Amino acid sequence: MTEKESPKPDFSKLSEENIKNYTRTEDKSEAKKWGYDLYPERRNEEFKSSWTNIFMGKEGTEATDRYKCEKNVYKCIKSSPLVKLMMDALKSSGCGIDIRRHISCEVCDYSVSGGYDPTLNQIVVCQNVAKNEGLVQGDASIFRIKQAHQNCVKTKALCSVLAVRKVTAEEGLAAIERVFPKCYKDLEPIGRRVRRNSTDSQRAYLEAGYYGYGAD
Amino acid sequence: MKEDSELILENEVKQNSWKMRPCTFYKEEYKECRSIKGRFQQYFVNGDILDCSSWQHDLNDCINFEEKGDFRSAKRVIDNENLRRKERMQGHWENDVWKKRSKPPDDFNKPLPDFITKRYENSYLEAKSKEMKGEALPDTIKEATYCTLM
Repeated sequence: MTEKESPKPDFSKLSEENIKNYTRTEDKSEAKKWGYDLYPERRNEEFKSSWTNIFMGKEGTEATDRYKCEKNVYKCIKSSPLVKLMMDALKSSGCGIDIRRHISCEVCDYSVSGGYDPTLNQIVVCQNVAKNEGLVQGDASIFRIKQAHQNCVKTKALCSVLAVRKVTAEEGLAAIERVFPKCYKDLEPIGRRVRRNSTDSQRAYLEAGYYGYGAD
Repeated sequence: MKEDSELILENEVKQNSWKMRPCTFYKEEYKECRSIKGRFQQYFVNGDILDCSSWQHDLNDCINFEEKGDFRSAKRVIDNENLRRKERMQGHWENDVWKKRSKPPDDFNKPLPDFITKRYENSYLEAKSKEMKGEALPDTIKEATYCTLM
């Protein structure tokens, strides 16, 4: 995985200081700017559910949610060809994933379903949002299907950017357009655009070895 | 007595035969390429349907090589595979949006803060992670039964 170069004020400080520093006011606004406020359990806080929400069935099940989330994670890494492929590719680049160290199931803001924390190097799975395997978003209608895939990708990218960065939609879209031609063509390590409900993902996994992503 | 060019061909094929997939693979790709759902996907992504004939040729050549040891057939498949590899990697090589690392980040495996490790102590992933690494499970996890009311 590569890290995008961008001006990040105090970002190196954030990675070294203890996470409890998020409670300081100046870091709180910094945290908001980079989307860290959407992942409250990244701070030294246990999720506190309110009684009203518990009665309404919205909260109070965090422990079981976490357990179910972790079970799903384990199932995915064992059976999903794409997840296995990514893990093999990361391993062959020297970043082997330890499922306890690098993956975290936690309660997040409902606007996100997961993320990556580069300060702790953890993949975050939102146990309260991502409850089913495989999320689907659509953008194409039956009449605008030709090459609609690109628009779908751009839309999804824009949603992700706007969720975690305080920029306008125009700024977000402009940033996406700047990198889109090059990024869209880069399919590594999967190597193909996988069609849902096909054997594409299995075939992608089977040919990983030919491209240097084999597991040992 | 084989001619030199034949020997060269044979050598080239033997050195590169790993690039050839099992023949069933070409059959699968050909089927997917020509299927209705596959065509739909091609139109959705590329704006046009793809030419599936290369998969068909490779399937036939693969079978030829497997059954009759025809090196010319094998060479054709290998050439196609080289072309596919180049087309696939082209987009990746030309992508300079990201600054490529020369090694993993130094803090990739650094210890997590205490409040997080405490949270993970008797978790499901802790048990599974240890199991995957072949480490012994602590007694607290071994004896735990995951019983919930939900």
